[in-house]
Amino acid sequence: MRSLLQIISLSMLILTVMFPLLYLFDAVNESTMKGAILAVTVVWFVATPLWMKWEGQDSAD
Amino acid sequence: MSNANYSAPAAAKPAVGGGEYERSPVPEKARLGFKSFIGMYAGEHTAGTELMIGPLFVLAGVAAFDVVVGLLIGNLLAVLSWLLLTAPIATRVRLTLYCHLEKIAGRYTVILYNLANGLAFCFLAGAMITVSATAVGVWFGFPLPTLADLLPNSLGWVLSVIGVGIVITLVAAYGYRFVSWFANIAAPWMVLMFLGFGIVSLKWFIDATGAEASSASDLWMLAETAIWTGVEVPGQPSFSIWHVIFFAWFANMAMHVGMADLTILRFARKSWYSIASAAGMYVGHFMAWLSASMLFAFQMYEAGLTSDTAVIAASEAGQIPNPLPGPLADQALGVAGLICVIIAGWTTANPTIYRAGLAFQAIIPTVSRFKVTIGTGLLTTFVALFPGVAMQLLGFVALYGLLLMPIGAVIFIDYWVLPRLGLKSFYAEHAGHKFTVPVIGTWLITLVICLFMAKFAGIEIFFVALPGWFIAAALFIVLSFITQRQRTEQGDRSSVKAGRSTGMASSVSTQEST
Repeated sequence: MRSLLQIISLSMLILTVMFPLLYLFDAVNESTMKGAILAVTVVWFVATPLWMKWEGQDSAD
Repeated sequence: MSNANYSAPAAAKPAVGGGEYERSPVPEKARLGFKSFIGMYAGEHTAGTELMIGPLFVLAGVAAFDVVVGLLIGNLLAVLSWLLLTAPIATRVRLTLYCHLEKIAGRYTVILYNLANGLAFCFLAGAMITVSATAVGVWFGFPLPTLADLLPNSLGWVLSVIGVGIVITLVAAYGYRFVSWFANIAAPWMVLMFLGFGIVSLKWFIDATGAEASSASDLWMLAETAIWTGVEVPGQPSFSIWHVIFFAWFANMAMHVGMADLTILRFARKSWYSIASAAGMYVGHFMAWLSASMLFAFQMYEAGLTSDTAVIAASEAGQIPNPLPGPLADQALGVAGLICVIIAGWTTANPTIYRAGLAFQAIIPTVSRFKVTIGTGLLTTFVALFPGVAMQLLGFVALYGLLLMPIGAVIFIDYWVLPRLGLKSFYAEHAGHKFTVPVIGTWLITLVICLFMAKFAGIEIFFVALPGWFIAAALFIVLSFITQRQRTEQGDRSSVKAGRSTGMASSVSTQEST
């Protein structure tokens, strides 16, 4: 499961650069690129915390 | 400054800068490998303030060659400063900056250092809150500050800054570890979002100019003629290649030349691990600065501001585009861009407020860390209300480095030079002083001379730190020599007096006994 999540996270990082590059080379239009990056962002922030360890308790001391 | 420092220290830092071994050298078992430092430096120097610094370069009229080559050289000099100045001492002594400085200069000097450092952190964190608030402004549609605004310009802006500031302050006070964890998650994505800003703005330039971009020379031509045209805005600093080199070199002066990163690099197994700082410099202070400046350069290009005449006319009419990260990011990458701006400001302002709180708490240790952090956050929020701080970030970053630079010179000379001159290192510890004249004298006199050079001798603030370091070094040697010699002479006189009185006493007792 952890490996799968890591693959998803890595894919999202690649797509974060890929969509601006596709836009640069006229393969997608601006609104598609913006929507795709937002989707990629959401998936990144959902998938990555599931495998990146939370270390320690907060303290207000 | 980053952080910043300047850029600002990222939340990744606690991994190597935690609370352990604060009063003792880092033992072998706690030392870290090269990889730990690459991630930390790359994350630390990709901060919300990079989105302000890039556009300010454009307003300062940088030319393409000056900004690209200047950043390459300046960042190299910064890496060499970590490698040759900070790391060798960090990996030999392995103490925190505060502990090291206390041994040289005494407890009261460390308190003064904490006060200066804490206040500087508040201003940096204030600029980061400003950056985040510009993104909030895009969502709520209130008037954002203009380049000329020093004071808050709308109720919406005030409420936005207060809202962002209170959230950041409460999280820093209650949940620092959560933000640290979240910052580690966001860092790789944020770096690539910055790259995305650059790619999208390149596309805009290609479309708007109709330029060919099939080779490196085409791109370079585009950079020279449309992106970094060298046209400066009246009232802004005017940057040559030398400005760019010195700005990039000294943007984190407090960390390398100023020795603040002794605290971090004391965990490095080898001194050369400090070259990991190149990851931060060339990702955050090269790629991110260039990307952010391209975003703003396109606003200038679109407004037809590519010649001196047009810029002067627009400046007189108050029509220079505003270098606000929120609207720029929104235009480039939409909602994800806005999220990036808010997260970049949030995750970097949080540890900065936390560190400022720690610095202040060292001055008033009886007050809890929670209360001090809340107070620090409110002070930072107050600073963030004034957009003039973020708009003048180039000058502030230079001033921040300058403020702490003399302490770095003191630590360097104390470690490498004083023993070779027959003088004592760690003099305050040796003499049992809580305050030493050589350090305080060096610090204050150097700052007065540097500010005098900046104000009256026509040397810009970006350049005074270099001669300032040598002035600080010379002053510390001279003042240490005078102070330690006086103490030796006093010691000699005391021992002669003691010898005499011992001799008299023994002769009296001899006479009495006879």
